[in-house]
Amino acid sequence: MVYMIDQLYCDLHPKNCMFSNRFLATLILFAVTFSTRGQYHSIDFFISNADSVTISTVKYIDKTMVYPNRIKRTDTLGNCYYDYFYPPEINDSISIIGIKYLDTKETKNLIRKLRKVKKVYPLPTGYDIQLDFYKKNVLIQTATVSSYSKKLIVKKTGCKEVYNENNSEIDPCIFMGMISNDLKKYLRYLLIKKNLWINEDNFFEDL
Amino acid sequence: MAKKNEYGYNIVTEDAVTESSFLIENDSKVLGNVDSQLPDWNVTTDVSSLKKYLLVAAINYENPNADSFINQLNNYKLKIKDKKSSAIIIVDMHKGTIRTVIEGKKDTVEYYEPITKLNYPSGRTFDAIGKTNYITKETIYDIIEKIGANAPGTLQDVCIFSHAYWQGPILANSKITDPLDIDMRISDISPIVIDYLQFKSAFTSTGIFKIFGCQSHPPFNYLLKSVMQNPKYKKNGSTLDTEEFVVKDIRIPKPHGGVYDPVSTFVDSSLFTDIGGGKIKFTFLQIKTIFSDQYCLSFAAKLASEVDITVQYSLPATYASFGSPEYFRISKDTEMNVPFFNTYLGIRIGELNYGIYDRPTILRLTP
Repeated sequence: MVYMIDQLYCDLHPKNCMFSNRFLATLILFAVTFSTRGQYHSIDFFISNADSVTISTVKYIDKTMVYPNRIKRTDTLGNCYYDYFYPPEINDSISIIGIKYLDTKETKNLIRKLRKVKKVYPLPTGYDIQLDFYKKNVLIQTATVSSYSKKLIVKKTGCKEVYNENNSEIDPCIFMGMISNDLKKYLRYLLIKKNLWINEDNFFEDL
Repeated sequence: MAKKNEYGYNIVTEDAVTESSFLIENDSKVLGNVDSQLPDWNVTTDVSSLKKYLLVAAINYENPNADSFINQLNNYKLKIKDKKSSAIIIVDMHKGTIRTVIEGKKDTVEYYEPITKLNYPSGRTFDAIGKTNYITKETIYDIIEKIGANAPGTLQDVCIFSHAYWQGPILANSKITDPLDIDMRISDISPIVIDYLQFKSAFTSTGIFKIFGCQSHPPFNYLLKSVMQNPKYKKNGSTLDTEEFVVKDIRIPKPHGGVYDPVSTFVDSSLFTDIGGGKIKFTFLQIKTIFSDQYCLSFAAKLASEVDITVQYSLPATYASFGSPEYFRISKDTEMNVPFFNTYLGIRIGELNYGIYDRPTILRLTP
């Protein structure tokens, strides 16, 4: 559409076509920059400054983790048949495997990177990385990340949601999104540095 | 305010909605009184001839107080073109309401117990907290069967906006052992729970049951990804059944300390060869068999094959995400798995990269 308008302008004002082309280039550059930036959103409003942060690896188990199976069997006459195995439901459980403190520089870097996230978020509910944020030894915020889906959930501790008259949250206690590539790389760096992951460990998409 | 329809069930007219909504949101004590008016959605004479859409917003149990699934539902509703000549039944499990919008204007509302953060005292698992009058899977099956009995051939879409897994849509994350098990499950698809004839009769000839949640199982996602990234895999459908693929038999999502067991533990031993060194080998035919099985073993497949209706649901090894504008869709991170199912298993692909489950396909893929 922009190109068509530009062509029309060039046809009508050939002398000014050079200016028009520059204008078009600027417009395209602006659009590309805007759309690239548009993938990430700032959640400055949501991420509190903390004076200490712990990073943990988590074992999260829920009923979606077991899966049915078709098993090939042979009867007494030697004929093959298939049996279907539907596993029993398992209860949800969440346990911390390992936990380490971040130093001041790491804390600052992590919080900075956590403020730029993708608003699109995947639905799977599991996570295996947890970040706890403390201020004066009081837990103020917890973030969980899935190395499978890159889903990020940030929860404020002791927070009470505020709703408007349409029952929509206007002051949410939970933010759900997806971590940036920059934060993904930094989390892996931290997990390996803190001996919570080994070098072969990685986010699912990089396996 | 509350009136009885021709079948004797309580309905609340438009006039009553404002006041009742106000009471629901502002005075929790009033909710106790709702119990005495057991609501039971029914097909009134006003809507029996209209085309119907049944839209269900389940509980996002990661954040039970948020209305995220109702936002998805509302976005879907906007896309319904013939809403002015249809009846749209909106089931909001969070608010505990079933609202029937008739021809885009008149509406009736029935009230159930809302499901909120209070129902999740231990975190993410549903607790009935001593109450019983919640919207459950039975409520939804019941609406479909009533349409089948009283207004057959008028139900166009059933849309379930929820988390999901192979067992079915997770409406509130209840447990199968709970006295009040709210979630839909494969075991529901039985003539004891569902009247197959009425259920099927409800739908129009193009009617469809849409499940918008995931069917993500990381080990299978890893297996398919490993195969599709191998140069032996041909996107054009020319990979031979005899072609062999070697895959690392690792724990997912990360190699060490991953929460899932290795891939081989999820696959029948007749469908791979352990070649040692932590590696397993598959023929392409075995890969096709594994994913045919996963397709055929889900709630969607059983619903489609037993009741003989068309179901739309995520394919194995794919999961949904919220995009922008807010709407469920198969995530960018797993949509690359979708062409395998169409190219090599002949499964039809529906909207937004969800798979189509229908009886002929399931019969063809079942050994």
